[in-house]
Amino acid sequence: MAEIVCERDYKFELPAGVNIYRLRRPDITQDTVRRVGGRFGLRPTVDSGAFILDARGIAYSEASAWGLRLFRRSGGWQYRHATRWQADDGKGHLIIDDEEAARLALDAIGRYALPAGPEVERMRVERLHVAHAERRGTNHEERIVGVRVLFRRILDGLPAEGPGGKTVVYLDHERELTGIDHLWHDIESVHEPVRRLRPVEEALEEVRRRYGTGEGRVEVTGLRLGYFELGWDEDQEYLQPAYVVFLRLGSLDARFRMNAMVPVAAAVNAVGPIEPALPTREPQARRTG
Amino acid sequence: MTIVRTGVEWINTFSGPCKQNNLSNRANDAEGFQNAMASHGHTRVFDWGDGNAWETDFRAPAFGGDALDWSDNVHFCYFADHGGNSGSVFQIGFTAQHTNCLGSSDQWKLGAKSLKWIVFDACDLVLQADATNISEWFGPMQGVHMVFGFVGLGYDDGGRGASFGNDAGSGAVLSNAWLADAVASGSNQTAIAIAAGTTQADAINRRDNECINWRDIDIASTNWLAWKWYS
Repeated sequence: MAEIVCERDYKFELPAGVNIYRLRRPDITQDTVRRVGGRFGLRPTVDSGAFILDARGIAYSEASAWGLRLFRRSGGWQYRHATRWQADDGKGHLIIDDEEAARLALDAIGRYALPAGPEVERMRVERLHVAHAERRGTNHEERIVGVRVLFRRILDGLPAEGPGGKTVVYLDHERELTGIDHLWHDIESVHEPVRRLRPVEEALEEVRRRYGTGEGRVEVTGLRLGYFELGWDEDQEYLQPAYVVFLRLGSLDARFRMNAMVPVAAAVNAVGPIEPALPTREPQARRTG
Repeated sequence: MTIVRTGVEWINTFSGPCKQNNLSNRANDAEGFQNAMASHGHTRVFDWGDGNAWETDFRAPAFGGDALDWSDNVHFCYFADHGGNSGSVFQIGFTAQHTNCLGSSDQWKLGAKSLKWIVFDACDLVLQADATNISEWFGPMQGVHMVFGFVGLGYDDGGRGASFGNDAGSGAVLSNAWLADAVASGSNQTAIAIAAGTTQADAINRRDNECINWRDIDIASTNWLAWKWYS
């Protein structure tokens, strides 16, 4: 069995006003594309651009190269410039500090009437690097060609954890906006208040169940309480608090390590599991060749 | 749309004889990738998991391996498991000992036959994104167009494989899709895309623009690498 190591004693008090929320079921239609696109000045019609409808969602693009993609299951959207998003013009080099990048990103958030503080907090600023090198180790060049600023939702004083509850703003080397990703589930109503929190030990028990069966060492490197939001292609009916346990998995061979994150429902009256169950699979027949 | 052949290998349970930490989401990512690609009309060729994943599937025949029948018999391969790096050699862990417990990049000739793109959804594709560390990929990239992975440690997250498969399978620029999809779990990890090229311009063009429609635009010789990452 893997050794589970948790050197800190994690304790959480239930903040006032924490709820289990029922989420609005996304309704992704061409009207939704028009409504979301309208905030960016897009006029999505079949005369002004192209729609692509598939199982994942609806995408719209127009001659300006700006486009919008909406995801059916989450309601999240991506507003991106097709040729400038994460692109390199071959010469630009961006020197920008975190504060300026965040300020520019917040300007964009404000301009397009997206949720801003105190509903969001900055998570991190990441610079987009490009580099190349020749085989013999010469002609190496590296530049920074853009930056993205990640924000997360704050609800009832708790941060959003997991893939959702995020707004990401992309800027190019000229500090111009090239895209915004917004994965933020709409709340319909309060399902019920959180009565009290489960003991943190129950979250660690889930860690043992999931990662304690093999060899090596499992170290708890952090444990946070937040509202857990799922990803772009996931249905989510409720938004509820979770303990999010961060792990460092260390194999017997010290070169092999990996991080992991285990979300566990934190409320005693939680509705269902925090994450959808992994698909069950039959063991593969033994391979012979 | 160009149709590509896909193969995936993953290990969640290290039941032995070779042992590592067990993982939870490796099948989810690898099979998620393959299923998403298939939903866009691309062809499934193999899906080997746990004890059925073998290091010989990646090792070049020159080193006694069987790569030309497996990883290099498809266009797009997705491997999800543990990885480690000495600074000059990338290694991946297996639970079956067929015939080694570890696959080593100094015994790979990726792209010698059909392989164009490979994801190592594992830790430590490179330890750092500087030219010294990246240069370890000049050796293994022998025709493959692009390699995708992580700088340093990654997370055992689910979902990225399906997202990347959906984007790649529908013709998105591969580097951009990987840099966005690989970290969409919200975890703080550094995805990287490395492209090969015969010339400087070729490598940069592939890094910035290549999608699966470039399947048959071959690389005669990996003289240059161009790469892209966030930090």
